[in-house]
Amino acid sequence: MSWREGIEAGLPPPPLDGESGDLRRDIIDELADHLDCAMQRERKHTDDDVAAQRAVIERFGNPGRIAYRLWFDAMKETIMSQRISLVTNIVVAMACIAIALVAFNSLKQNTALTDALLAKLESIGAGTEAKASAPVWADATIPILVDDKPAVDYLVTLLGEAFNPGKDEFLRHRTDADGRVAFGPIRPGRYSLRVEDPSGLQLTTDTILYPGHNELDPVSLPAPKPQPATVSFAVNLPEQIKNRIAFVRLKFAKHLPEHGAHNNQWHWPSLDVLLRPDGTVAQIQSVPVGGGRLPPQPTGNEEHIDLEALEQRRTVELDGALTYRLADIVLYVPIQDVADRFVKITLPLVRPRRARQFSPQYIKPIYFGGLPPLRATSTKENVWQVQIPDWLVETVEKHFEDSAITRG
Amino acid sequence: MDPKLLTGTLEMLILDVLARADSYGYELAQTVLIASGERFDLKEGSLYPALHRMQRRKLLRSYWVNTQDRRRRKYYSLTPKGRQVLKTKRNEWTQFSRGIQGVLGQTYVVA
Repeated sequence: MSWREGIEAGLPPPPLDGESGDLRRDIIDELADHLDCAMQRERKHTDDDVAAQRAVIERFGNPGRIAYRLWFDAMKETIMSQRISLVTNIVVAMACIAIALVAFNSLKQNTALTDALLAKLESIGAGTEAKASAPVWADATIPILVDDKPAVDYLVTLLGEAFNPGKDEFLRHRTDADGRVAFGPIRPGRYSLRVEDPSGLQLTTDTILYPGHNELDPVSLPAPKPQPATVSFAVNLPEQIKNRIAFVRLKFAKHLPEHGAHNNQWHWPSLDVLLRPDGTVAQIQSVPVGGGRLPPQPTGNEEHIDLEALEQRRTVELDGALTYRLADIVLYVPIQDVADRFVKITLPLVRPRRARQFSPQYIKPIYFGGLPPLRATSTKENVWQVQIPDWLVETVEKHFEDSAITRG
Repeated sequence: MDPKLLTGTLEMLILDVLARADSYGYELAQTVLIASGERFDLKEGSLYPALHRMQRRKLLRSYWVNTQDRRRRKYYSLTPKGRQVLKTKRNEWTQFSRGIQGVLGQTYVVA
């Protein structure tokens, strides 16, 4: 008679993790031994195995249930720890799921927020790009007044970065019948405004043009008040060189301003007079401020002079309101066998104490040193004596000596 | 006999039997039954769980012996800790039984 099947039926089917491999066998063997012993005892009282077995079971109880209790007691700690572990894992898993859900929702919200921000930034960027790509221009209408009257047909030059940053440019327009001049569209910024009257007098002032239309305050200038004066020249060359000079050119520097209002001051053109040794005027030219409008001056030691174009004048008409500073004297020495070409001997009389500086914003004044200024008045005859200073005579003689040596 | 009277004494009986000699479950139950004049009939549903519990508490140790009819039989023996617990329980039981006997042996005069 085997009790094993009944005992084994009470045990849980699959072995659990952590269960000893001998646990079930030990339980079955122990209870089966007990039941066999009890069976042997019952057989002493009866020959009927069925009755004996029934008596054993009635006394013992359900062997499967007892086996399960023994197994459970042995596995209780493991089972409980597994259950605790399982519950803990479930709780942790649920917590992770909850955290993941929260994180997912947060990420979803952040993504939505980021998308919204990006869309906003893109719209802002597109607006900025559109603004950046759109040109920003300024234009200006500038009334020019001279003695509170519209300055008609005045040449107005705007100097500065009109179109390209960092590149000086100028725009030049004439005032209309109302004395107004219009510029634009150009880049906003600081500009120098040069006004030139029909006689060539110039005035420079500063102005700032802002984006959009600039209706500037009138540039009010005093009218220059020329005082016509007649000037004749007396050329006094040293005897040792007198017979060898064909022409004498007098280059007057830019005149110091004599008229002005506020910080606006007129500038007069330079003066360039070509004289013969007898003092007659062969040629007279005005060089505007800034130069550049007359034909370029010849450079080098030799110069061509169109003899047929020369004049023969005793006097010239100048503005007596001004002072004239003689900057250079150029002596012209004829070249043998060539009628219209001359060797130049340039004698600088004055030197700028400070280099002339130009910037788009303003033109700094120029200071000169050297000979005292020449003046002309309208009330008397003006004779300007042209005399080479003693400290330059030696320079001229040395030039002749070098020239003789070279030609010899 | 009322089984409730055995409550708390099962472990002491098991320890006492095993203090005399190693034994296995069926033999142990029969020993108690015979020694008690068939008054204490230990039920297997209580005996084996008690044996296993006492083994886990290190009061007993066990070993297997193969019988002549090729069965495996599990023997229990007392550990030093089990002996110490048995000693304590005996003293407690002696004190308890003396107290009970002292009370039950008195003649009361009801006024």
